[in-house]
Amino acid sequence: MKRSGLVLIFSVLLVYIFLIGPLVIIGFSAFNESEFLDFPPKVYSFRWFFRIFESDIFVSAFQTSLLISLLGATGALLVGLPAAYSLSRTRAKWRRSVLSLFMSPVIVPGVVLGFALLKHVVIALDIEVWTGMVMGHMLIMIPYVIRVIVSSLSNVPIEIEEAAVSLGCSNTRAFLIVVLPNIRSGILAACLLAFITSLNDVPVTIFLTGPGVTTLPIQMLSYVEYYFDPTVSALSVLLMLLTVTIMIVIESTMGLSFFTKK
Amino acid sequence: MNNRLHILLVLPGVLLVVALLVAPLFSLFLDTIPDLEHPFSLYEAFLEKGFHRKIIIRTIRVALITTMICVILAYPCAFFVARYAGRFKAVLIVIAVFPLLLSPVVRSFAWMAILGKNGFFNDLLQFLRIIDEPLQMLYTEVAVIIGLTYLFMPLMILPLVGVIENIEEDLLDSAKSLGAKDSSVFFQIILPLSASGLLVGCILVFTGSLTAYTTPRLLGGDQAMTLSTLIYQNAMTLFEWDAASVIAIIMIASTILVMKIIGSLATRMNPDV
Amino acid sequence: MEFLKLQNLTAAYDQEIILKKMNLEVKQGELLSLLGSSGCGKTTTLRIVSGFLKQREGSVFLEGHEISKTHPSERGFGYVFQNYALFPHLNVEDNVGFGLKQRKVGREGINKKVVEMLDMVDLTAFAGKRPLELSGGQRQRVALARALAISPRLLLMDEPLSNLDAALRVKMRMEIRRIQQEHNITALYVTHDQEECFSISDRVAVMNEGLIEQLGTPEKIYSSPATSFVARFVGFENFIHGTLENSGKKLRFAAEKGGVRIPISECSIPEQSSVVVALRPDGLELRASESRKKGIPGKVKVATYLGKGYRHLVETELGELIADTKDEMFAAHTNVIVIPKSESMILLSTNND
Repeated sequence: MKRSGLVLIFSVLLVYIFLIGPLVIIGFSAFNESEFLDFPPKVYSFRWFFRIFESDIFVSAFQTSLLISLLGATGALLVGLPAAYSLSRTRAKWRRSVLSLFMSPVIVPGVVLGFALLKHVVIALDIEVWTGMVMGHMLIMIPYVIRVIVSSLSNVPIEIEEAAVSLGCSNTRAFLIVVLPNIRSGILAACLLAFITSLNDVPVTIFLTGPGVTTLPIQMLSYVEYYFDPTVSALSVLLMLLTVTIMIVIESTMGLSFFTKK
Repeated sequence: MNNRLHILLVLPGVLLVVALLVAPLFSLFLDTIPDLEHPFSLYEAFLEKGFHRKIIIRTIRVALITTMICVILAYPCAFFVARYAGRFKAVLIVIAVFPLLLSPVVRSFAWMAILGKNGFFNDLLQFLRIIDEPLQMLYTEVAVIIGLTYLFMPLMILPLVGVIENIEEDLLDSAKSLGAKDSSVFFQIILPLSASGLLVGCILVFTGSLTAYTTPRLLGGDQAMTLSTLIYQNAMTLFEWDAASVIAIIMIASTILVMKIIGSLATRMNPDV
Repeated sequence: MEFLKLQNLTAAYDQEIILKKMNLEVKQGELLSLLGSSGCGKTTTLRIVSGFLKQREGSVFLEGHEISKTHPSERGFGYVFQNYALFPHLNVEDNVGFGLKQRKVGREGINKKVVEMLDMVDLTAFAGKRPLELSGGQRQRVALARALAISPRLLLMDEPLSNLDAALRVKMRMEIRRIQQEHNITALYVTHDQEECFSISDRVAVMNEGLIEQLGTPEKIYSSPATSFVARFVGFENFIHGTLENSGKKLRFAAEKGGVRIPISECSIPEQSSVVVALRPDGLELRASESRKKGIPGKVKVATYLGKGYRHLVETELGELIADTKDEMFAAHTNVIVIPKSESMILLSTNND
């Protein structure tokens, strides 16, 4: 057992260094004075962070990203919450198929989704770039909203609604005052998860961008292909901070064990 | 409580997904069938080019290698996290989840910084005097594989941890009490019972690698293209929309095919899955 | 007039029929239990009465009025769920006062009633706690208090004690009975526990596969079960098949095998019909085979100690019989004679099987 124990520990160390190492490296390069991404830095400075705010491209791209993700998340929630409620309460035969349908945006490759949307929705129906973008993001956020809320609702058995009804509530009122308060954290986690997915998306977005409608990841992508400097490292550091914050919120509401469940 | 009400509640969502996903994809499929006399003419035209065939093979090859590396590395790692991590388990899971929530641009850029001519590896190798001049590591298939492995490793670790966690200690104890050695316990009990998690991980990593875009674009560039970068090139640069549609259908068909194959493997190994 | 009347209730899930034209009348102020094992339809009946389930056929009358069209929120029935269904985001006080809040009772009125209810179930100290912080027994009492707070016309209880441990079950059932009787509340109680049911009910309806096999007081059902299903439920474990004979003026039971004949005093079943004699384990006597008494010969398979006596599994020509003794134990493999006590016998006609 000792030998296999060593193998285990070795592989764990290897994998985790592999996972964290690259992020640490760009972390360092973000504070590096020199332009080359060398490691370890000889002189430290914040210049790349200032660079981010000097030009307008990243700031406006971030604003655009935020807006699109917010609008998309709102839409996904409006459509997904009633659907999730229905899916978690019904015993009808169509339940499985409808659930699979809602999960399909995760299965279809992003580039295919993006291209199909571009060709047969945005262009075919002559839709504005903005609208197309929001619709695309709504689509990719729906699976997360539904999966998380259905999971959340499984902790609120239907007997609780029935108890409220037996005590005098109408069905709608029972949902509002007895179910909703108990899935609040689930809804929040769903929104955050969907938000991150939308914020980070590249494959779908890249087909739907247009003049004036660029998201942050797309902007970063084109910048990196032309100017290979640590500005992107600095942006990465900021994004990592944002992600950590969101993770803390998710953990305090839903718990991260959500990710290990099937 | 009321079937009609339930149908009404799911209807908006269903309509949305049908309008934005099902209908466009179906139209795309129809696009690739120009007429009933020669239904596959566009596919044939696409596959005639050796360049295209090369890319298809490369995409599959890259996905396979990535999946294998992930399996080999993730399995012992997940095993450790699931059973031996103790107080550190939560921390280790968080560290594994964190990269998943980062943009693929960030994650691929990190490897550009490491593999580039002025990057970490080249600096290190030159510092150790192993090489005199920087190596060309970026824009190769190897770089793409490394990048994809980095991208998808958590997706192999997490389902495995979940499934290994669920193996009751009692099962292992009873096997040992019946005389099984540690290696037997692993191969005859732990492996079969964690197979479902392994297969979930394989599906996620393989289909993910098959269809990823950002990583092959940043780390493979034009020299090591995959189907995803090819579809973008055809659609947005060359305006060859027929070719793009063909690629799209090929991608979606292979994704579904892989899922069905691995899925039926899973049910065969463990009927409860 | 009966308080609650169920008439020809039929219920089904998809193709499966759960209730078959069930009829039942509940008197005002009585606690009537629906007793049966899972799947017999007792919970389905309760859900139809409460309005959470729609019956396929039949009617539900409350004091003469058909209530099937009334929405469950307007029936004014208190429902106690098996898993209590307490609102996790509200504390005990707000849970108990929930129904009153829906009825737009003023703050003062709610507080007064809540205090009264909590006092009744002895939970006054827990008013500010959340359900998560309570034990199973405490949650059960909150569920009861919540249902009673609205002064319900009818109290519906779905196996309210099945999730509690044995000692708590005994204690709580007496509490429920006490409160029910004190306030003269009509209650419909669903359970699968025979002892619990008999100890608190005015009447019991024993259900099996969607039908009521017997309706009566606990005493009647216990002493004179109408069918072998009911008999099994109330502790009859031995069933001997045979026929009813008439030799002159005497009525006798002839077992189908072994030549055992037992005189019967009187019964309502016609002669020459096949019957089943049912006996509890303490309705059989055991004697060593050497004693040569008249009875059913057999061999002891297993003997176990029950504390209040010994239980023997005896293999005989008539099948396996279970016989209890008080002081004497017959070890395994002993040859014995099993003697049915005629005063402990119940006769059941076989068409009731």
